[in-house]
Amino acid sequence: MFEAPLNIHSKVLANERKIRYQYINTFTKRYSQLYGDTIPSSSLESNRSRTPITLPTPEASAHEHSDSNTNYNDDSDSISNTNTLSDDEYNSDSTGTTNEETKFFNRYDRPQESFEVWNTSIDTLNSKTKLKSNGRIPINRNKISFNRLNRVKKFTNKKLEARLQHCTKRLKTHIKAISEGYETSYRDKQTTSFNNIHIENLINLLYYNICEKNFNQAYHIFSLIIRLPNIDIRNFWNLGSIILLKKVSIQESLNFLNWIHSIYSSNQKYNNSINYKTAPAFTQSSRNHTGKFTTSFLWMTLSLIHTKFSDLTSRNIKEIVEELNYLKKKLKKFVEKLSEMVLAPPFIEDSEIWYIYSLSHLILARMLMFETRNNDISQTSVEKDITKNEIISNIQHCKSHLQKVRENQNDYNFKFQKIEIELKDMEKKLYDTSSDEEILNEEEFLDNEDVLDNEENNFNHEINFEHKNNQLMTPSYDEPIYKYNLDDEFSGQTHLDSENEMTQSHFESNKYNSSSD
Amino acid sequence: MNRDLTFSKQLGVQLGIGIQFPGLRAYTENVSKIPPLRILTRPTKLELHKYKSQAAVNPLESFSEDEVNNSLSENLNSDDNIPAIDFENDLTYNHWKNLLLSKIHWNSLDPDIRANFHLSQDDHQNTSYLFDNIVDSPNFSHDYFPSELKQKVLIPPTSLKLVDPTVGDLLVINKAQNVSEGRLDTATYQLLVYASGQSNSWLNIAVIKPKDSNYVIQTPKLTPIKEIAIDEIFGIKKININATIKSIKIPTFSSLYNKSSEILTLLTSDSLHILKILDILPEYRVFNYKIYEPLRFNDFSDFPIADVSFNPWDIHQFAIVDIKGNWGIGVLPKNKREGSSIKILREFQGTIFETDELSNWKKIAWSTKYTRILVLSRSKIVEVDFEENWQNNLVEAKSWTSILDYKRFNDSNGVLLTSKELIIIGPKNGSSDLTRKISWKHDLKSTMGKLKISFTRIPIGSSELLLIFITSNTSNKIFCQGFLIEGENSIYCFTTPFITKLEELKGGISDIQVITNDYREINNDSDRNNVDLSNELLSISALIKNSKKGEFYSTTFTTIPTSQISRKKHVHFNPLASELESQSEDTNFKTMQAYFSILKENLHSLILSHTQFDNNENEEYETFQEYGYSLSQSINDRILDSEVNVPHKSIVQHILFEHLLKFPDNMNNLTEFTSLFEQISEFYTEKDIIFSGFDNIFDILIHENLYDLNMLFSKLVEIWEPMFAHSEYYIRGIIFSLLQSSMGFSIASQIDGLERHLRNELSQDYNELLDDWGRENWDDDISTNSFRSSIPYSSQPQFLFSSQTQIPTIKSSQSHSTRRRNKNLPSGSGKISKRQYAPSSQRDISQSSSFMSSQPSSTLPDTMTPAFSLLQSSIPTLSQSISANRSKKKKKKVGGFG
Repeated sequence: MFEAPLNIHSKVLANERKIRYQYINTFTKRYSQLYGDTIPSSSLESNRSRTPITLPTPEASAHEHSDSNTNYNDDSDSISNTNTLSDDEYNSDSTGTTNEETKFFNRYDRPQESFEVWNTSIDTLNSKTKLKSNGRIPINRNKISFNRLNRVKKFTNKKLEARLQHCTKRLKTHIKAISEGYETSYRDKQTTSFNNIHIENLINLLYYNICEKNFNQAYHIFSLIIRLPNIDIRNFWNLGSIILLKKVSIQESLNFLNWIHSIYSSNQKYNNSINYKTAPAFTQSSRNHTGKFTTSFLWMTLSLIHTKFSDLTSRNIKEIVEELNYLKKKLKKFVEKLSEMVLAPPFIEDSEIWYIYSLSHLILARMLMFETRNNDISQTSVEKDITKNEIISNIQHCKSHLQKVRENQNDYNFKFQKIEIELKDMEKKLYDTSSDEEILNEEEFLDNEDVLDNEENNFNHEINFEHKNNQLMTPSYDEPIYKYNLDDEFSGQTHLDSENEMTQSHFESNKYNSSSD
Repeated sequence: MNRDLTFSKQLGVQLGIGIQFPGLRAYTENVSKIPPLRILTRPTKLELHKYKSQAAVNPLESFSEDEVNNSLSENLNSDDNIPAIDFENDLTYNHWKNLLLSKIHWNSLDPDIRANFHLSQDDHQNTSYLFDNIVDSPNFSHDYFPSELKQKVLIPPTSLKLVDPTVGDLLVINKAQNVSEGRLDTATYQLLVYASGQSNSWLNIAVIKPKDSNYVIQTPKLTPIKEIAIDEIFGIKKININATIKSIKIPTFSSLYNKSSEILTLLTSDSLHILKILDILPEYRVFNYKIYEPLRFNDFSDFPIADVSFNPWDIHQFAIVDIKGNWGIGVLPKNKREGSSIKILREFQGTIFETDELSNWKKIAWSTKYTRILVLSRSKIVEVDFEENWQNNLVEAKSWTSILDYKRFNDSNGVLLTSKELIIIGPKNGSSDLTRKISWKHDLKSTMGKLKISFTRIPIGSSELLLIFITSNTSNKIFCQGFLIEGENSIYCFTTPFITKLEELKGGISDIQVITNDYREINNDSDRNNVDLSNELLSISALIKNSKKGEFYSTTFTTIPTSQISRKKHVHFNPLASELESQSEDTNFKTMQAYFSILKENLHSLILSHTQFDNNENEEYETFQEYGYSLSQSINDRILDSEVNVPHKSIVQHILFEHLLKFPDNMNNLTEFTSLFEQISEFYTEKDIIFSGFDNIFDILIHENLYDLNMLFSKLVEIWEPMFAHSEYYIRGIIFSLLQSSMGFSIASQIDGLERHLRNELSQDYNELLDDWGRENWDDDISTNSFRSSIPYSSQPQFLFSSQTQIPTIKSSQSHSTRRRNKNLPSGSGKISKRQYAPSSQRDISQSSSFMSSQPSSTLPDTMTPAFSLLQSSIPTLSQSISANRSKKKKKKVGGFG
């Protein structure tokens, strides 16, 4: 039932693909010969240059644009050095004849971020650049008629007749069926080798056990699978991660992800012309595509630290000094790691990584802030000054990284304004320590908020609403921005948190919010 | 609200098992989630084509519905020869039909009247019952070609299997109403429309009326939640389309209108049929409709139509797409002329044809706006605004995946299934441009056959749970992933999907449709803002169509642990016990224990109410008086009824007391009840009524013969006294609910009638066999050697079956209480009882073995002879020894009784 993390190299399938693509190519060629101007798919060529896969800021997209163009030109060169790059590409037969499949795919993008090319119009953002239109073209009104189709079909059938003569009966039927618009499925098992069947069974069991939340069993199966030959762990690292998370510990899961990240992070250029058998979206990384395992690892680490920190704030200060120091240490390490990562591609250009980087600084600043504002944690004046400086530097870092995010891609739904508000707030608090002023500041601050632009007003509205219904809402640990929240945390009114946690815990969810801008 | 998620604007959030979502979110280790959906009721095969005639179902009759329901066989040359009856008067028509249906009990052996017995309204055509079909079939001029034959032609002798991708849903459940009902907002019916027949050329229309099921789900707080059983499916119409139906659709209109569809669309291989519903009256089996002149494919383009979709904001507008990707917008004629034709607008046409797209699979659906449609092929989704004249390649799936299915689930959002992911597509905030919102990597094998999605929406508080089922035509597993949609923009996704396997289904699932209902009203207070799914108890009833044989199944999924489920109103022993049996060991004792442990919980409230009553003796006395009086009265009624209104001869009714009369709540005195029952049974024994006595009931339940309820009571007290306080109340409650569900009586004369009836039907040979059967030894042989008895008779027609099962019941009653036998059994059964004491077991054996050896050659079909020859050679010697032993034992026993 589930996809095995295998690459089945079967001659039958390879032949089938070959002939299928030959059929399509011949058909397309003939069609464009006969009715060249009206061929609908001809628009795809322009389409492809119009919407490159990564659609970033002006510079990046321009860069990408030229990049992709050159990319296609040196396709032939890159094929030769691909064998070292990846072991799961489709081995094109180099028997002299042009590979029909390559020919087919040369006409199309093979995106690395997703499985399909998505042209959801993001034009409004980049309207200034005018690099691309919104992808809208006039309706193609040339309906295909039977006569036209039949003419091309006849030609194609004739052309392929010779080729099909030496094929198996099954292949002939297959081609005939798909050329008539039918779809085929195999009744017998495609995998025949004992090893593959074994792996398939194990994978099925693994998924069942995960779905049944039977993680002990899943752990055993997983450990069996990864010891089998021909298994590519990149295809199911996510399963390993969740099993470790549930069965062993979060730390173990993080270590695993870190391991995957360090082994499989590649900064090779993604070559669009290689016939990868598996889509790279979840399994690979390249020069301009951060692997999902990396982002998973980073987000998980950060949210773990953040959650633990939020938990701490709800407890008695004296108990938590050690833990707080430990968390601080950990976060600092994490920041160090990030600072190394962002020096090289793909992370250097990935705004998501930069965003995580800035968020980690933000949390670090918050931790330090928490320390200084709690008088129970005894600090000498020198120490206080040091932490103050640290906070300031963290805030600065955070700001500069956010700037970097902005420079890189504007393709993500980031909450700059919220973070910036919090940073401002922090700065204010750093300099004014008397409590009376604080209240004043708060009021001022509120006023300031009201003056913000439309979008911001909208945003405020949400916040106010949130505050009113604070007890009912899902918790907002990652809502570092809103100062009521902050104050609550600091003044120890954290009973809310525990309640929130309850409500949230009921739905361990991956949540999606469509952007508010 | 957590609004700090980071995601790509182009790709939305990409998720899968164990893939960390972007965003800082609290990680909680002890996360409790929605409990997995499990199967509550195993899929039961639905005889959908057996129409249930509502009028014929008498709730008091305890025989199974299958006997009542008459099969509406689909072969036209059934041997029914019902004379034509002329009812010219339309008003009396329904009355007469109902009368006929209510009075006639029939089974499949008799020349049968079909349950949908239809008196033709056209005077000149009603000469034959067969005209039923002709009247119903609109004038389609095309021949049909049985799909089986077609498949034989199409499927080459290889392992390849060809799938026609244009075949869509053949089982559809959606709400519908007629125009005036829509206008007045009165009734909506949940229509079940499906195709049946060898070539899928029959269109069946039924109405589902979900009613409270037998299950009550007890939450920890003892708030019952209603759950729906698909008990009530009224078949109301069967239409012969005379062409293979490829897909059926009932459009859903925008929630703005707050009305259901009055339209039903059908696609056949060459045309589009649109039915407009005029009247639905399920009680009278009336389904009036108007059919528009079918739109032939060549009225639009050169290719067959692949899909049709109605504009959710305009009831008269629809879009079609053909198998090559030519699409067009059409309108329904607004004038009311019969047979008025459908128009395709010339100005709104276009194509998404591509030379490299081979598959015929095309789909069309409305997008976020009145003028926008989505046209889908296997490798592309194109959004078209036909008013503003632009199109946009929304998705291009040329490389890694192909598009498998798409369904809109509300006014703006839809679910897309690709071979890798499940994606929710919806509009961006504040605009009508589509964007990819959230995706779930499902990891299903790409070679799994034809994958389809089907969804259900369940309101939970202010948000909505969207459950998406992925099914395959080659697998009997259901993959279910859930999304929780909160407001406009927040979508949650389950971290792990559910997988359910339906063992009963061989082959795959071609369609699954969930029956929607308002069953969640109790837990449904819309003020709640936070959703706590772990406490939500869901149960979903679904209809499933098997891909292989076209059988229908119904099943219920639930998130409720089985231990919390009990039968409603009364505690009915059998169903629950059988359910528990499958879990625990099959010893009766364990079952009972499990059973009582559930009772303990659920009876709590019941028993508490009991304790509130004062045990006022006077009151109790009156209660018993009243109960005894009304019980005997209703028994009298039943007897009279059975005399006047003779049910079918082959049916012996066992009538439960609870069906006659509600047990009074405050009946507590066991001794009184025992004596009451004794009085009643004594009185009625003279009237040929057989009661199921305490001894019988407890013999079955606890393998002990108890004649007094007090004995049982004291036994139970012994066990339970130390376990909980007020145990006597519990025990009393349990005993009474047990009695309630098991006490009953049968009318002996019916048994005689049955026996006589069966005897008459039998041929001479079988009659002889039956005579022999009465004798002790022979009888023992048969019952002990089930191997032998089952082989010859299983292949025989049904009456033999029934005779086989019926006769031993008589016998058992004889051996248990001779007194009753002598009194109750009338002379009709004398043959048996006389024979029973016929001597000479040796002669019996010789006779029987000779019978065995002689019979097969003459009466049994040729195919059975091998089994018999085997018997002849080996078994007789064995049986001889066994029966010899038996006879010794029996002789003793008989002597003891005599």
